[in-house]
Amino acid sequence: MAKYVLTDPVIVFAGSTITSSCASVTINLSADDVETTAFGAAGGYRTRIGGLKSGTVDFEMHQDFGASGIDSLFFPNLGGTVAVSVVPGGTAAVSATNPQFSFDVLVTEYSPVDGAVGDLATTSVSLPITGEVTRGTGA
Amino acid sequence: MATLSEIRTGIATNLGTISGLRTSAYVPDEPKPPIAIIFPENISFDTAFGRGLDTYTFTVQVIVSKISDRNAQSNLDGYCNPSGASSVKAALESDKTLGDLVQDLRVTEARDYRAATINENTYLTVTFAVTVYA
Repeated sequence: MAKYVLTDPVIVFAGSTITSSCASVTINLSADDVETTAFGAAGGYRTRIGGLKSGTVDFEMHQDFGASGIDSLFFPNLGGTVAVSVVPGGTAAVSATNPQFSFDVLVTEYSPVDGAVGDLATTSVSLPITGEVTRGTGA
Repeated sequence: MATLSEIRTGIATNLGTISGLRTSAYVPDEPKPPIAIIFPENISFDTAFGRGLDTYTFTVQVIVSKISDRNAQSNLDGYCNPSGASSVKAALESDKTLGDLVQDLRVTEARDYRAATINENTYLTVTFAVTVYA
């Protein structure tokens, strides 16, 4: 897969595809920075090892109160754990060059209404990932 | 997903609810006032992933008879009102989905209330900006 423009990622939240209601998606992964500096460190520099990993996923969405719209997926799941998957490369088969990121999130926030007069109705969330993040390759 | 032509026609249909105002989805050679003409101005593609949403901006130019006509100004005032039987905003937003063709529609402003020369005649015109989410 070459460089590409992000237009058609497949985004599934709680079993429903929300791709066409999303304007932005960000998966943030990180590992704790655990310092291991001891007396006599070479050259006087600190040393570190990686600790526990964690992450968040951010969505910017167009609000929709329809029967299977955004509100129907987020409001009932507030406080619950929900499965999420993102295939950045789109609808082509998941493969080593079109990976699928899968994980669970804790729905810790949700703003049913978030906008000013005249704006397109949108809602944004930043949800912590709970458990392992897998990078599926279809193998 | 709606085509540009379908949206233009839908806008013209909504405007057609104003009694006495001609509408044209396309620019006529010789407009006969009072008339509302729909112009596509801008299309922002891909405002959601997966071809989920495009944002269109249209202008609707309303042309009434010559500027010297006092009634022309009165009529144009009526078209600019935010509500009422002659209100362009009210007519356009009377069906914000254009018959389930688009997601939403909003008339954002009326501007350029002024004289304009068309085919050597001076008319009074005003332009409305319309944002369509489709």
